[in-house]
Amino acid sequence: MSAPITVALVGNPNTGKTTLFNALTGARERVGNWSGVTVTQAETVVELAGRPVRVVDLPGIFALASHTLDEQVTSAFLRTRQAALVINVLDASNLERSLCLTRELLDLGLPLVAALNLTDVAERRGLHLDVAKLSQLLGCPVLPVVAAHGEGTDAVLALLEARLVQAPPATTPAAPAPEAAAGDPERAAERRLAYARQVAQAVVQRDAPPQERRSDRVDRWLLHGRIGIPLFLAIMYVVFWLTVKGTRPLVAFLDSFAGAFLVHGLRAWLSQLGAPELLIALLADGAGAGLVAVATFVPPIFAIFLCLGVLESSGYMPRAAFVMDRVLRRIGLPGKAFIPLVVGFGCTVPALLATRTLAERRERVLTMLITPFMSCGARLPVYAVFALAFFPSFSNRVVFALYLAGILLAVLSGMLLHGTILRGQSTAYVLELPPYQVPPVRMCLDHAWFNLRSFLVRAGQIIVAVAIGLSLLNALGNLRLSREASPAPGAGPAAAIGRAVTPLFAPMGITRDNWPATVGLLTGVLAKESVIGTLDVLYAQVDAQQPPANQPPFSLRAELASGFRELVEAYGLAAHRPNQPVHSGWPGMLAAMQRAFDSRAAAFAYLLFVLIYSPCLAALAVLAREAGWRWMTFSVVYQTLLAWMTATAFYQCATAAAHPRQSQFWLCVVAMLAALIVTTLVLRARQRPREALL
Amino acid sequence: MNAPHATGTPDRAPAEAPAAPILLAKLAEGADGVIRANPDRKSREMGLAPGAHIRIMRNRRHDHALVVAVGDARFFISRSLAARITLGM
Repeated sequence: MSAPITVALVGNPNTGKTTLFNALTGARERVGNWSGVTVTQAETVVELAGRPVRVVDLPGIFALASHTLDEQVTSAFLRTRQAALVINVLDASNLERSLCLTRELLDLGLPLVAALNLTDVAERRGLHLDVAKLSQLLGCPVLPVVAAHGEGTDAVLALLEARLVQAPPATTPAAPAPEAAAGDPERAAERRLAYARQVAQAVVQRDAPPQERRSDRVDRWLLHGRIGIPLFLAIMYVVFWLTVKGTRPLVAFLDSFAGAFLVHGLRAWLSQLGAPELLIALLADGAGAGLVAVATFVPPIFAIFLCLGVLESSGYMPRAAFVMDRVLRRIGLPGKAFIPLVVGFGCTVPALLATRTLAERRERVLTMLITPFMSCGARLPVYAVFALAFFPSFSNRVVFALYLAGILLAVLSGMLLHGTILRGQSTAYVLELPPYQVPPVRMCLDHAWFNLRSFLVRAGQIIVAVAIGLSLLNALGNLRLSREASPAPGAGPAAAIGRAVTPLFAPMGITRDNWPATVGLLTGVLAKESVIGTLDVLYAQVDAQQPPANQPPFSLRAELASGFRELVEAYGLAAHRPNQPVHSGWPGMLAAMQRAFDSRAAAFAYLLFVLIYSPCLAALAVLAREAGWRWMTFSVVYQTLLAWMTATAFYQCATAAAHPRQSQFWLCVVAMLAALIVTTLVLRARQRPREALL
Repeated sequence: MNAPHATGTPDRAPAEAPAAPILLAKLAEGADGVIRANPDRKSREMGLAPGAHIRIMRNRRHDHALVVAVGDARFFISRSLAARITLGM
């Protein structure tokens, strides 16, 4: 097969490059209604008339003179002339600005095709574009498209086929950089602007002068000093309400449904076949329980990514950045640093990458260090399970409180770092506020599905592997002991490690017998998804040691019927049967957890620790790559210490009445540790200048 | 169709605009102006270039940023940057 021909999509930020890339290639890259969604190069290979074509989606730029890391990616790609054809995506509703870049690309001698996107928006604003004249003036084909609806993409593909496959153009020899060619870069930029104005004037006709839009009227409220922040918090509360409470019946149903097949059914079937206990433990209690845990995460994970997708595509994100600007200024960050932080509610990894849009390294490092405090989607199942077990009547408020605690700690940590080792003022900046749009349903569903699929693949692998590993260790431990005496609960190596480490967590309310909670924290360093998988397996095993209740024999049909009945009752589609307990999902694990944690305070302290402690391995790898090994190590140590201090302080304050002397002692320890951290940072900042630290 | 009112985006003021330099950060909400000079390259590339007609959508003393309209585009600009952009009225 011949080597693929490369086609690159280039344009200003937020002109729909990634939307067009997805429409042309069938890919599912992340899209959003703000500048800087794409920060790395995305590519895929498609076949056109039987020949491979490598399509590359590049981060948005206004000019080749790059300011930020994401812009450098595009600039470097274009200057190395890898593309046989460049599709320059133009914003029909802001043509003049788009044409400045077009002029620069033409100056570079790149083979160009222009895709005139957002023609529908331009029409709505009373802008009429003469496409033929534009093509004539630019000297390259211009194709009108509405990438969000897939309109005009067939014409783009047909043109690609004609230009690339039938007669592949020879790559022109490298031209000098436009600034170099033009001499003074300022003069060159002025010339490009004059050209863009001239062309835009010739091809754009406007019905009426720019007027106040509906977006402007909405902004009067959303950007209001007193309304903006409460409104943002209200929006986030609704998101967490939908995610936690709205999906609870579905979680319970999936728990019953998947559990009936993969755990109870599988166990009954293997027992009937006379399979050895070790195999049953591995398949039913290990792999089966792990898969059930993964299945129960589907509704909340899908819901949170759907909600975030709606927020991202609506155009609200840059407004949230404006609203939070005042808060972020206090920690030396520009308002636009808030966008990576909100992305962190989904997953920390893309959030860390999103900091590439920030101009200064100090701002990037500081934002990367506080981003992990934004509770990612993988932690959500842990909160959901604990909230259901210990705070069933106000579970959504508990989850919301945890998210708020994360934001508060991010701000406090930012203030500390800004005041010591990362001193400096936020840079001057400008951020475009795109017009609001009704979130495209398909795009939001795609966004949620893509993230859910990634979560399922990652969580499936990790949780099932952890579940099988822990089941095996536990079963082997029990088998070994059964030769000597009757097996004790938690006799395997996992229990031994858990018991050895648990005393460290005793001040935050984890008792010696609650070693599964400690093992959950240890496996959570690999990936946060594995916390709940670990707890599910280990608590189920501990629970199995409890005297059996009078349970009816297993019946697959009865379990499935009960699950369906509860689902329709929960969503009000059928009357609730009196005297029937409401099944809320993970019944075995919840009961065992309620026994293992001695109080609600201990459970909440545990959740605080999960919220704050070290980011997962994937996030640490990105942090090391983007900020360096020293900052990654700092992040692990600082966050884990802070997690222990916060959880201990909370637990000791909440239970001080029961053991005042002990609480006083541990609160003194926390205060001394806090003083030690602050002193170390202050001394470090005095010893070495900020530039050396960075 | 209505008669064309203006062409191109962003919109611009007539060339004979009187010279009365003022800093963007000092302009009140609802006021208009034409950018005379902007030393910041990035914002110039984004559309806040000399000659562009600008309107203040939001400028509150306690805010660290302003919201402005340039043609059909809306931007929020840090006050420190707005204090470096000069306008002619």
